[in-house]
Amino acid sequence: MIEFPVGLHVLITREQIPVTGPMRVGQFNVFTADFSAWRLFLDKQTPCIWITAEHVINYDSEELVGMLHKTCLQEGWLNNPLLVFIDGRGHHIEALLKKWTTQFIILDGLAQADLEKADFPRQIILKRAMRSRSLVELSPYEINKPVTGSAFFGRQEHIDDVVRNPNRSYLFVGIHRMGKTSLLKEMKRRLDKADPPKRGRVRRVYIDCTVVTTQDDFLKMLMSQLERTGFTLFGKVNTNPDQYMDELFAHYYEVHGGTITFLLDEFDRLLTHMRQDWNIVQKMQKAIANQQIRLIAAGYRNAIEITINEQSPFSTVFTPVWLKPLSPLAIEQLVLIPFNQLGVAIEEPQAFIHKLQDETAGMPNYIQHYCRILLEYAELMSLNSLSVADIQKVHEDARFRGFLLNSFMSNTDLIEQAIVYALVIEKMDQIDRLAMTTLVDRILTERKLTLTKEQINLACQNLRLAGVFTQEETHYKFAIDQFQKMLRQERDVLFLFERAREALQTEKILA
Amino acid sequence: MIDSLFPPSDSNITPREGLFPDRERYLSQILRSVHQGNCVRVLGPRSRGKSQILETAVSQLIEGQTHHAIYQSLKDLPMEQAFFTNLYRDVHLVNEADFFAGLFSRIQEKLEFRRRHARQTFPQTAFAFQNELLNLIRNSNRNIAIFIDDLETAPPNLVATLLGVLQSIFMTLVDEPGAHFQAVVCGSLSFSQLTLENASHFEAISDLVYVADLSLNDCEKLVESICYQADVSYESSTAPFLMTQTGGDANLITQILNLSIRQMGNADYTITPARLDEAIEAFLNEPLDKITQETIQQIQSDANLLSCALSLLEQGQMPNNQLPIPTNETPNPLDLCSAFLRFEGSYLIKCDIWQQLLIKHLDPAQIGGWYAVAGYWQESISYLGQAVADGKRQVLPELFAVIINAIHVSEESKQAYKYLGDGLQAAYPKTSIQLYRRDDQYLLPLYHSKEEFTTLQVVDPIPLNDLSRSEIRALDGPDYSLATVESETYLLIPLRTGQARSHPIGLVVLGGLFTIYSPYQHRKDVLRFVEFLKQAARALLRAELLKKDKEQQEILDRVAQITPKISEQLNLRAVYTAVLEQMMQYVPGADYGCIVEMDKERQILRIVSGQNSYPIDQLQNDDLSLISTQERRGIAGRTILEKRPYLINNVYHDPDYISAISTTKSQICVPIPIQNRVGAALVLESRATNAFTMSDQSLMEMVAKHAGIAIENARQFQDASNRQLRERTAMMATGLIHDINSAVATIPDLVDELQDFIEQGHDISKPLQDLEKSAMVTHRVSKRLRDFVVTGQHEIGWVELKTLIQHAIEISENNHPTPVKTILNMNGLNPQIQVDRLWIELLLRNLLTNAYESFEIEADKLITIDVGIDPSYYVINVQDNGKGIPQDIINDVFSLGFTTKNSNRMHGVGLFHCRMIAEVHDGELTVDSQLGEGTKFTLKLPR
Repeated sequence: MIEFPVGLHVLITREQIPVTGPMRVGQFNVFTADFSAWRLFLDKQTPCIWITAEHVINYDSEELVGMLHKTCLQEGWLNNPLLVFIDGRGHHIEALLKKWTTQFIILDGLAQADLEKADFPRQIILKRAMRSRSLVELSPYEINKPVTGSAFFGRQEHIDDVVRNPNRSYLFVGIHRMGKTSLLKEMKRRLDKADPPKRGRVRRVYIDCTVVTTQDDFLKMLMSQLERTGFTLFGKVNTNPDQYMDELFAHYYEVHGGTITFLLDEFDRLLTHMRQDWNIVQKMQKAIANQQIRLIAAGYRNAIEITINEQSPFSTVFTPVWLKPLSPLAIEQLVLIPFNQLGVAIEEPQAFIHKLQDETAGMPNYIQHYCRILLEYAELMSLNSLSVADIQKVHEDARFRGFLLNSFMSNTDLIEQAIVYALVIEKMDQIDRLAMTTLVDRILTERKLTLTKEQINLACQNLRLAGVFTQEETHYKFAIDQFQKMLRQERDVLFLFERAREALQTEKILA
Repeated sequence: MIDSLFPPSDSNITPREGLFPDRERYLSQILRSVHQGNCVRVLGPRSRGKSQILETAVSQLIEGQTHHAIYQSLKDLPMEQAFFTNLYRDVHLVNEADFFAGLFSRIQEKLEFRRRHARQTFPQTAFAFQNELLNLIRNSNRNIAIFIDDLETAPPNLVATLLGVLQSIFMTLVDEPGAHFQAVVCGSLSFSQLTLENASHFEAISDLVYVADLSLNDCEKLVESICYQADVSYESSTAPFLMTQTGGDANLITQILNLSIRQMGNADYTITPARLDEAIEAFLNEPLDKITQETIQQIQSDANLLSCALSLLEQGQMPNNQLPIPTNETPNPLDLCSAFLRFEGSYLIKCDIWQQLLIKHLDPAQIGGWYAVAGYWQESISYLGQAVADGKRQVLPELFAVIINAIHVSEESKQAYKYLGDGLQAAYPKTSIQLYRRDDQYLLPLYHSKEEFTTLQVVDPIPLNDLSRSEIRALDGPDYSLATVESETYLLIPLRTGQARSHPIGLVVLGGLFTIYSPYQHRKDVLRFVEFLKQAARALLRAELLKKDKEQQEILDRVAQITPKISEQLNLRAVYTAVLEQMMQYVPGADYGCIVEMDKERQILRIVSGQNSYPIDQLQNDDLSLISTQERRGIAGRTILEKRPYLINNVYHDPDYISAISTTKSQICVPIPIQNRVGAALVLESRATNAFTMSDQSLMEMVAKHAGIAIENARQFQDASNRQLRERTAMMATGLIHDINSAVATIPDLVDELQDFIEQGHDISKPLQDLEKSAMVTHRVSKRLRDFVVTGQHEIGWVELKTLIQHAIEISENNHPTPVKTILNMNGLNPQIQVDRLWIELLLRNLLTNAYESFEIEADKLITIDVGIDPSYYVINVQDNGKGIPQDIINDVFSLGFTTKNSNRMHGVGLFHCRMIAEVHDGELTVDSQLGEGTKFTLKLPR
């Protein structure tokens, strides 16, 4: 018969939280609870440390905190939240821990008693967590780092596709901040779960290609994680690359027991530096054909290029997949479930989701920004519910305005920026699709910027791909309703247009 | 070395204990982000205590034992000496290998757990640095946080690469088990200055902490700290006073307090607002401290910041969207410069001291120079002019150099002349200035001073042959001449690019001479001035040539885009439409457009294309596409006859103009040469006067040449099609002959049969009927054969549609004596159409014959011919109320050889031939039928 802390038992029986353990770690029994169903900050493998009454009697608070500290350092539990169940008073321990880190949620005797009595035990956990965390920090919304597991929403069809077709290589194309890194990380996790590598073996390798500039760098990058477990081909390849590069992927296929999946993030950068004399590319093509490796890459502009350029060595390798904006259903899941869990009701949810979709064009990162700002607002104003009218608060937020403008700059090139500035100057909210090129050409010509029809067409297409424009039945319009207004309020658009025009003139002369 | 020129920096502001209270806020923001596993970018102007905040954060992380944390300033790396010291901050000379090796060695040195196993060789590239750091973190028992300060002191390319490396490491480790990594970077540079993509990616993964100026609370602590260290007392109003005076600028507070303390010497005074006032005055008059000086250098060296500073000096407070901020990134260079303050969507100069500092250190001569360096010519001229007006005539050579440069980089000659005019006005503010450009026939005035400076108000061009004008005489005169107009003396200098007598490109006229500002004080001044104008003339000529080149290039670009659209058309009408569509698109002033052909014999102009783009509302003619030229030629007629283009800025001033659209005000018309002959013109019209330019004309002329070729090609194609049709017709005729032969071949047999019947005394009515039938078939087929032979003389011409239809009805009625009522509804239309009269008549007769043959009962036989119009076609419906065609065969009625009449296989040729005739005319022939109700054939012929 397994003994559980009272509070954990309540969570198991009344909240149906799956729990494994205990295992003995240091001086403590530790359980692992799966909170993924809550869709909040607690993840699938949340450690739950049990400080028993015996501990409380035998050690003082400082000693217990020291023990906890040591245990967490040993186990590398410093990156995620964890629960500490204390059979006794925990006030002092909580105060001491708080100085150290905010990762712990303390559930002492009193809190556990509250859990037993509560109609909704999870509310007690959240209240406790809110002692050291804001509402946003309890939410799954991350804007600065990739998310996986329970915090990852949507894109199920792509993940299923990748899992179901273990030998097919994919190229995911999407704009900056579309969630490509999260998708790659989640795919890695799901592939490892569906077909777990044996102990000591590596079958999926995530590679960020940001600073890879040479073939040698790329080779080292590919091998670095496959060599970590003690295989030593790396040194040999380094000294005699021609001889070993041929057998490289076959070798890793053998020693790691199956096809190796390389998940290549920032693929655009790699393509920028890749040259025709990179033998490694031919070797990879061969290895892909032999099903020794497969590639799952993510990028944007250069990635688009290889999907249409038959000369590219990758043109036949990949199945290209466009990352589209989130569907209304995915947005609903992303917004309503966590808000509900955090006790913030959404009035007229359908209208709310509709408005959110309309304003964000379904871009995951924009939606997460909206959600974070709205949660902060709800917490600041002590609101239990939010309505469509509250969405206005997001527009007023300086961080959001900055984010919107920064995103625009990072997703567009000079021609695209010039077109947008010109349209904003002209106060054109929407443009007839059929007359788009002519119209843009006219307003650019009036402003002394001459571009070819092809350049304009391509730029307009890219602006749509970049989520700046959205396509409606007969016209294009700015995807984010607020964008034009914000740009006009924040910047001298005429001046920005002139700078872009000058830069483009220079490019033209150089060309 | 250079540092020794300035007083030592007092920027290391530290309170007596720990951080200033309100700085704690930033500290907790940073720590919170790091604990949540995020990277951070700490940005803000210099001297706001950012480094202390970072160092405190590092201490606290180390103390908390969650992280191995290190602080590293990039200015403390083992680098070569500083370079570019005149930039707003020293940037250290370093290469990539030294930079990353140095950084890694410092990181390793400071990480306690690494000390024992430290590597002695260091990574030489960004990639190697990343790998080493990844290995180091993966072997760590704690998370690792690296705080990198003073980003602006390293070369921007290396900073961008470093940010890329940090982002890559963070992304790689973020979901790995084991130790994680956080990077905290800090500086006073805008990320938009790092043009590589790496920087923007680091923005995406990091929280922003923007460090603002000191609050009153912090200011009090700073005052307390400085006074405590100097052992002086201060009044409680000191901090509020300093806040008001400095806007919380920690460097200014420190400088002023220290100055006040130095002013007190050893005297046992208390610091009061009055003493601080004295210190402020002294501060403004003493050499600047390093940080303030660097901030002013930063403003001077960045044209946008300079422009913002000047606008704010002039206007006080200005909204964001009226300031030349060159980026959308936040924080922008203005936010990161100590002199400015952002306040509710506006910017202002932070405080009175900064206001005075900027006024003092941004004097017009300097500003003019800095603007010139940045290529802001108009601003440079204006500020150097101010300096001249202030008596600093030593800037004149700089001003002249700026004028020449400005003209050289001008994109068009008007702008170039304006630079010259403004520049001369700035150099000689009390002198009136007129500038003229010379063309084939006139001296065109392009610039003149404001009225206050001159009595000479020339606005009209001066004809070159008007030798009564001193300007014209001066043009071909010596290097300079003097003339008196209305008792005022003017200096006239031809704008020559070379020696005397060389061809002048224009003229400079200076009035208001004999003032201290005039160049005409000494002969040598005038000669120098003439020499300057020669340089200016060369620059002007170059600007003009550049402009022409550019225009020509743009026109060629456009033509290259337009011509494929025209050339791809094989159909004449489609060529016309494509030409007009393209021209309407590429000539911005055009509201209407058409192509006009001329019939010289009949003295008419015909608008052959343009119905959609040319809404005629003025011609008093039944056929609105015809223009009689008996009284006037029309501009198009003149263009065709004289074979040259005409650009008419106001059509009502042109005696040849014939109005077709009442709202037209200006027109441009170019000839379309087809096989070296001009019989047509391309016409664009506008509702505005002066709507067209010479560039438009050049573009149209080039396009017209291509249009001529395309028209010729289309005609040839049409001829080829016709030939093909004739061949097919001949083939059909052969078939018909065969059919006649077949029909005739049966006659001898029938005759024999008839004879046998007669001889045998049988009833001969049956063979007689068969014979009669053969004779009728032979007649009908031979008649059709004749038709084909006749129509083989293919000739397109203008035909009145009503007459054509009436003729077809008449012949059909004669051939079919059975009473059938035929109604023709022209619906008020009687257009002239361009067709082969015989073919279309044959087609109509075929349709009518079909209708006649469709009737089964005697009563109510009705054929209705209805004429209509749609945007592209004349529509002729021929409808009968006969038996109709079954739906299962309706799609086959136009097939060769198809017939519903079993007795005679010749009938099928008719409709197949009819559709072919329609298609040859770029038209359509379709059928719609309801069984038992009747059949409707619809013939569409192009308008």
